[in-house]
Amino acid sequence: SLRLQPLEAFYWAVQLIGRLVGLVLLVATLLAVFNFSFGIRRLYIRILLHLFEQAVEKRRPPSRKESSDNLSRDNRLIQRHAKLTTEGIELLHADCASSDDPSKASTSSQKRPFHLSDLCVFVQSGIESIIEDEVTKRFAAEDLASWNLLTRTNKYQFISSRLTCYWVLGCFLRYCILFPFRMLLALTAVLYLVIGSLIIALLPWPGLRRYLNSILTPTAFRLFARAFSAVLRFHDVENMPQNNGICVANHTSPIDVVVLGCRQVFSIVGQSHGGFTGFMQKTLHRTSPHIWFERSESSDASVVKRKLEEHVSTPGLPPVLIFPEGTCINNTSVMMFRKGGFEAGGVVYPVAIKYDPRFADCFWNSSACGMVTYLFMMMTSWAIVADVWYLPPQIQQEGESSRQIAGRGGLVDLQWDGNLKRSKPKSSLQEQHREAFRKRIYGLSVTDQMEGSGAG
Amino acid sequence: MGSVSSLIPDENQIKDIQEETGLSKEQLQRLNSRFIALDKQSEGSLRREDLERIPELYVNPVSQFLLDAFFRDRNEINFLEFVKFLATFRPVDEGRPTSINRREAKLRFLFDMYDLDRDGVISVDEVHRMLEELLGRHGRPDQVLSIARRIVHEAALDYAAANGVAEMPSGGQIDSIDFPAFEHAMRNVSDHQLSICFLS
Repeated sequence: SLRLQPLEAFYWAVQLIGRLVGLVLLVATLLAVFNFSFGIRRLYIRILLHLFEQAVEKRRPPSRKESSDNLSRDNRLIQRHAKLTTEGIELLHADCASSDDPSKASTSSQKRPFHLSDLCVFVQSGIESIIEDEVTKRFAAEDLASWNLLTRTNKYQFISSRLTCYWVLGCFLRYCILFPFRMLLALTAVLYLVIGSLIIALLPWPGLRRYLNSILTPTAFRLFARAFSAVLRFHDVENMPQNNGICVANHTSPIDVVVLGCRQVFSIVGQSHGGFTGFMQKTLHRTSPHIWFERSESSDASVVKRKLEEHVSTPGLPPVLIFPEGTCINNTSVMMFRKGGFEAGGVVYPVAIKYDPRFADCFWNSSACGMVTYLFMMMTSWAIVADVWYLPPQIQQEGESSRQIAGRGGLVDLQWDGNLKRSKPKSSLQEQHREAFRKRIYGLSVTDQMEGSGAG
Repeated sequence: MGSVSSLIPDENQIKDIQEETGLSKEQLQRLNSRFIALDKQSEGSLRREDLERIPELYVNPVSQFLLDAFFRDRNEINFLEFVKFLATFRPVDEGRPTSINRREAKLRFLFDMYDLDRDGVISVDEVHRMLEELLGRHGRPDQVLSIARRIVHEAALDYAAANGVAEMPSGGQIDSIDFPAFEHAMRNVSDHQLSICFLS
């Protein structure tokens, strides 16, 4: 009987743990359903931040701001001479050299003949932008102050033994303690969604189905969010997308869907996949219309456009969720959509999502790792901290929603970037710079005398 | 992550790089962070696409020429090459005429940007190409071509005159200039216009 006791105790312990875990999962589900939070995750985030600052030697004092809308540090590496912005070429007088150069800026309004050295300002601006540009700077800035003890983001810190120790502890915490629990939460969320959707799909009344789905889907997503220890902050909620609207969001990560889906039901536009993603797509589709299209269809812009128009004009349908930069949407479709898609009269709701890079590296390199690997990486990061801004709705004009989104600090150029890569004729910004350059060069307007030596 | 080691230069390497480029340790660290930020695929080296991803560079009308000259003989740049390139554009150090950032090196890069076929001379066609790129559809083709011709011809004449050659052997149009002629044409360009101002 002495032998049996340890075994009994073991079984008893397992049962207890099992019950505890089950209880916690149940509580988590209930919390998700009722959208209530004990604030544990927020506390966790605060502790983490505190730890990061303690553990790592600071390079320069970080700005102490609560929100992740951290403003650019004024620590520049170079003094810019010339910047190409949306307003044109900005020439800045820089007198870092001992001799002050009467810069060409003062004569920029005068026309003069082209000279081989006219290249210089563009070359300067080009090389300067390689060193430092507004976009990448904002994201890198947050990394500089401290290392967040994730291997994948540690690329430049020289590791001391103290740091290594913290890192090992961190690994243990993330992989052995947090991850299994998060995995269970995620599985619970999937189960909850699948079973819930199966039940709802059986009911004969569309109205009731819609109502129940409006409870089921957001709560399932909230549960998912908990599986990532997500701390989400929503701003300007009065601008939340309404039915039959079109929600345009910048795309950083597949998690965007979860983040936005926590608050409301969307009809997601996307390419149908196989595997786990495909399974989730089918599950979601059971209870609410989404717009999935086949790979072959994605190259046919009119198909996508038609489906979108149909959706937007049918009253009572949830707003459409589009990620213009998402790799699942073919370039030409988006171009076509942006130009003509809004003739259907859909109101556009731009949304900006920004992730705090201190807690997780949300960039998904789809060629390097698949969805499941990516989710694993997210679940073994510290947390997902995101800010969501609901921008004022508008009737779309070409390129306008991008500019709107561009107004938010830190996101300027995510959308801008997407635009630039999209358009096949070179972007209008480039044309703008060319026009400005032409204006400075004598001999290139219709009314000017024709330049050139007679021998030509 | 086998390339991680190439991303973080060790102490000795840093000293060498400092010596060669004239950049401080702090500046090198900043550039290292920048390099890593640009290196999205974490390969330990930068490709053309990594740089094209910079929006401000993308809208630059001469970006293709710049990148062509930058990636002239290679497909990717490691950190050392990256830093050496950038250091070339540091303002000239008066006391070190043969250093990496001498005027000739800067002008050589500009020359390379024009000289697309790498034959060691800038031809009228090449100036024409550059002008076309700078002007886009805003320049009339005939005007642009004649401007290109004028530029090359005048630069060649200028250089010949400065070297005491009063008349060109063949009386017609000159359609290319070599590096010394280019250097001469750029003689009034200050170092300030050719350099990047690094803050310490």
